[in-house]
Amino acid sequence: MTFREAYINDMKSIRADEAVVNDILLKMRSESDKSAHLFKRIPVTQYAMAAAGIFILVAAAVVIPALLRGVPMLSELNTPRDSYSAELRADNSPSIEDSLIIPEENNIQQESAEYDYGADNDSAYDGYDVIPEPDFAPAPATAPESAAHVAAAPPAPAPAPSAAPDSGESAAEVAPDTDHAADHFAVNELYYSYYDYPTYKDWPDGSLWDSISDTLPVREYSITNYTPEIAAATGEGYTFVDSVDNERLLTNAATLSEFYDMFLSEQHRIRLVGYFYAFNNSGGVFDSADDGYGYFEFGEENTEISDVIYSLLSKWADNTPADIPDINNYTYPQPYGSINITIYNESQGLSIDIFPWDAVYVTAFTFTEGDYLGVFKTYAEEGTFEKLLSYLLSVE
Amino acid sequence: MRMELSLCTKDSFEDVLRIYSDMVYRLAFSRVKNTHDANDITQDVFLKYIRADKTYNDEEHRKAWLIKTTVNTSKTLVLSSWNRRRSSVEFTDEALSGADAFSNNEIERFETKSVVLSAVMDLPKKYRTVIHLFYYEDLPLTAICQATGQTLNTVKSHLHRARNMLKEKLNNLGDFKEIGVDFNDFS
Repeated sequence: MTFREAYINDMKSIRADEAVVNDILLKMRSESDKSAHLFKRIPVTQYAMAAAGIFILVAAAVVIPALLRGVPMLSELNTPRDSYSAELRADNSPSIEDSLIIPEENNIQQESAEYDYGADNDSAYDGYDVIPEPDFAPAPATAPESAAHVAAAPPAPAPAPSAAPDSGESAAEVAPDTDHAADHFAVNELYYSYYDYPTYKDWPDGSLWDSISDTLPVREYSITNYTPEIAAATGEGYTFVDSVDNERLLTNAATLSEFYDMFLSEQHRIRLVGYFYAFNNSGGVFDSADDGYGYFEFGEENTEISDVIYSLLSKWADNTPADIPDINNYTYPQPYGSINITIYNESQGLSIDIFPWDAVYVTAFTFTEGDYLGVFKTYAEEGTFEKLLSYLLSVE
Repeated sequence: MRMELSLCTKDSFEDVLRIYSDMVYRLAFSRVKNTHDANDITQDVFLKYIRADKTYNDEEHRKAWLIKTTVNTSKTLVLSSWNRRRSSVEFTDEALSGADAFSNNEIERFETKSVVLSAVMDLPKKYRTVIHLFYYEDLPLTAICQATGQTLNTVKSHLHRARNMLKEKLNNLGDFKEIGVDFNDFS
């Protein structure tokens, strides 16, 4: 038996949990029903009937007034050519027949001069029995008229007054971008729904993490609420408690201040790997240019942490899709993104997840699986990047 | 010939789920090494699948999309703050769902056989993924490149290093010739 055969045999014993699969199936059906909902409500045949009705109404609205105004009917348009041409020639304009006559060479030259083809263009036609292509460009004299016409056009109607409150605050300050927030909700619900986590309809008024921790159901660890400052000041360690088994203490780690000191000190030049990613709601595939996000990974030995952070920020700025707003204006970008900075050496690491719309999560971990040292949330206010950066640099 | 070939309509997501759920779960498990996160990832991948509502050229295309989405979803999970909870029981009997049905004798045999799986799971994640995609999913190296976003040379070097690590690890564990496994044959 080869390694491949042995591995396949072993791997076959690992299967998706049937209950999970059934749960996914229910959710997939629900998603499918949502997308089909609109079409179910209005059958296609009714669409066709509605379209036909609209067409009839539009046609009636156009044709009937035209008839009432006396627009010539088709029979009238079939006026004998002679009389019609005579009418047209009454103002010395060329007849239709005249306009259809192919001009002779002299006429070509005359026309060329008239349209100012220039010497080169004229010579290009010399010796060739070629009819010049009609000049579709507008005559020079008409351009100013067009411009004047545009300039004289009535101004666009003023935008409707905004719904800003009387307090004088701008709408942007008062109301978050609910569309984006709704998209964000969808993803959070998507992630948490499997565990029947609560939905966060009240977010973004509060911190996402606070709302999670306040109503934390099973399978989540209780997280201490320390900020780096508190940890540094008190020197307290971290505890992780499994909510499923509240008595089980996973780890009681070293102090965060020690941890920071170790990783961010001059003596401990670290390998730093940064990830930047922004992702959309549907795909989740990082390197799809169609979805407008990027994925970057880089890391070098002995990199100055400040260099890498600035580099990350630069990459963020350079590659973030245009509709991700300024990270500090606290709107809810779409596609939303996050930035993760993972710092590690051979045995331990520090993972910093920065969510522009929410907070920074810092995870300290070791590479021994299951031995995460701790997680804490820090700044949930505006200025996330600046605070983080200044903190990291000050520690360094 | 294969059941997947009948899956060209995007409405047959139940079939897609039925056929690919184990594939997605196994790949997720090989990356995160715990059942809970693997379940999370499996769910995420299939909900992304239904929401993406893509049209696939063929089943290979669909499979490649699922594999890549699984890899990226697990990346997101591992690197994000969602991954804040870690169970120390990462690779347990719970993961080996099939073990429940075994008798004692069979469990013993099962555990012996799962030495290979355990050895793979002890590898660093980047090596686990390459090993899994190459040996279990039987993907060509170019497809692994696409799935993992790595260059061909990186994938080759990861595969090479992973094989060497596995050889050393497995051969140190003892002689398994009695169960018919040649741990030097990585063909």
